[in-house]
Amino acid sequence: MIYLKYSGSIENREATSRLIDEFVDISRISGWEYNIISENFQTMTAGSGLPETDNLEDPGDAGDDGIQTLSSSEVYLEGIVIHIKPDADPVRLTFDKNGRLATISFSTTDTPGFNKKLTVKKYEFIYYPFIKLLTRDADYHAQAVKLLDYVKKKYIFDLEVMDPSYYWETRDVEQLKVKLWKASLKQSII
Amino acid sequence: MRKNIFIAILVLTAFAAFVLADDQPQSQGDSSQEVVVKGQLKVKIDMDMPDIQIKTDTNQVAQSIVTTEEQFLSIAPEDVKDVKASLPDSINSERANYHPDLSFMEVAPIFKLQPKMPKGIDIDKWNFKVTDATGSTVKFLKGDGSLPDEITWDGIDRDGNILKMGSPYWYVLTYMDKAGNPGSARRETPKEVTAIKYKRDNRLYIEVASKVLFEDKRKERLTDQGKQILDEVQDYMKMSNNFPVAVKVYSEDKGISADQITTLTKLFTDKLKCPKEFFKMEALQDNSVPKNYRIVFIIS
Repeated sequence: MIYLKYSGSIENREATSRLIDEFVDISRISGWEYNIISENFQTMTAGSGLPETDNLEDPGDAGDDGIQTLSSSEVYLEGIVIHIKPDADPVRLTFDKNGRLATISFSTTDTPGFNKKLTVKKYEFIYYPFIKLLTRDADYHAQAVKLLDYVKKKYIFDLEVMDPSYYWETRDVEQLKVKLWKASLKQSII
Repeated sequence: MRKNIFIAILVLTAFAAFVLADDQPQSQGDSSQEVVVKGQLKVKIDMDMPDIQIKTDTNQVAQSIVTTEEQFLSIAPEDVKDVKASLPDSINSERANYHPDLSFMEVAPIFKLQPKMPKGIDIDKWNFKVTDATGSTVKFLKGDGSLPDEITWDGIDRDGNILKMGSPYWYVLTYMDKAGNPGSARRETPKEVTAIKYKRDNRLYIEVASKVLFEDKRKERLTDQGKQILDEVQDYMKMSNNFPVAVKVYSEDKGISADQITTLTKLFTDKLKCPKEFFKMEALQDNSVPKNYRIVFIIS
C-alpha cells in the first residue's frame, strides 16, 4: 500500500476558515462527502469525527517524529476531512491550535480502582504533527496529490509531502501504477 | 437806354469770361511731376470671398416655439389637472437633474464578475456563492462546463430580501477543472452597501443605513452626508410627486426610531413645503442578525 505523508503549517485561524469554506465548496461541486472538524476534549470523548487510529502509525514505531501524548486540555483540532472515495482513506486537512497540520488519536482504557468495585476510565490522546493518507489506486492517489498541490499553492506554503511512489515529484502516472502494483503484491504475499 | 443795355451786356460778358477762365485746368502752372514705376508686381493678394450664404427664416425658427405655446395655451385652466393625470402611472426611477453631483444610491448588480480562465483549463463544474458577515451563504449559483462570461449578484438573497445595509458581503467562485484540479477566486475586501435603490411591485424602494444618515452618539441628529443623501431621496419624491411616501425606520428600539422620524418629518415638511400627512412614517425595532438598522423609503 502506498501512502502520502504530509506536514506543514497554515498562516492563521482566518486562513483555516477560508480553507474549510473553500474545500466545502470543492467537495460539493465534486460530489464528495466531507466533515468539518472542530475538536476539543469534550467532542472527542463524545466520539464524533474521530481519526481512524488504524491508519496512523503506532507511536512506538514512529520514532522521534514529534508524536506526543496530550493532556485533555490540549486537545484541539480544526479543519476538514474530505472523502474522495467512500471506501478509501479520506484526505485530512486538520490543524492544531498553532496552525500545524496534525491528527490526534484517542483511546480509552478501563482500569479497576482500589477496591475493584470502581472502574477508572483513562483517556489517552496521541498527537501526530503530520497526516498520513493511505492510497490503494492510482486515480485516487493522483487526485489526492492534486488537492495537496492546491493547498500548498494557496494555504500551506511550507507543505512537505513524502510520497514513496515519487508521484508528488515526478507526476508520472505509469510509475505510480507500477509502484502500487508492487505494493499490492508485497501485501498479498504477507 | 441802349447805352445801359450795352453796358449790362458788356459787364455780363466780362463776368462770363472771368468764370470760364477759373474753370480751366491749371496743369500748366502745377509744379508736381508724374512718376511712372515700371516693373512686375511682386506681391499679389488674392482674396476669395467666403461662399457662405446665410438665410434666416424667422417663421421656421419660431415655429416650434409657437407650436408649443399654442398647445399650452389651448389647454383651459380647468384642464391643467388632466396634464398631471396624463403622466405615466409607473414611477420613473431616473432622477431629475436637481442635484447632479449627488449619487449615493447604489443599484444592482452589487457584484459583477467577469471570469477569465487561463488557456488550457477546461472547467468541469463551478459554483458561486455570496456570504454575509456571519458566514452564511445568501446566494448560491452553480453550473457545469465552462464559466459564464459574467456572473452577477443583484443584492437579493435566497429569501428574496435585499441585502442588509452597512453589512459586509463577500463572494467566492470555486471550480474544478476536468483534470481534477480545484481553483477559486475570492473577493478579499468586503463590499458594504450603505444606500441602495431598487424597484419592486412598481414602487421605488430606497434603503439607507442608519449609520450614514444619523450621528453615532446623537442618533436623532443627521450627519452631513445624511443630509446630502436625503436631498437625493427628495429628488425622487419630487419626480414621483405621489404622496404619501411610506418611510420605515428600523433601529435598536422604537424610541430611537421615533426620534429619527421626528427629524425626518421636520426636514421633509420644511424642504418640500408639504404637510406631514404626506409621509406615512413607521417606527420599528430591528431584530435581524446581523443587525440591519436602516431607513426605508417607499415611493409609489
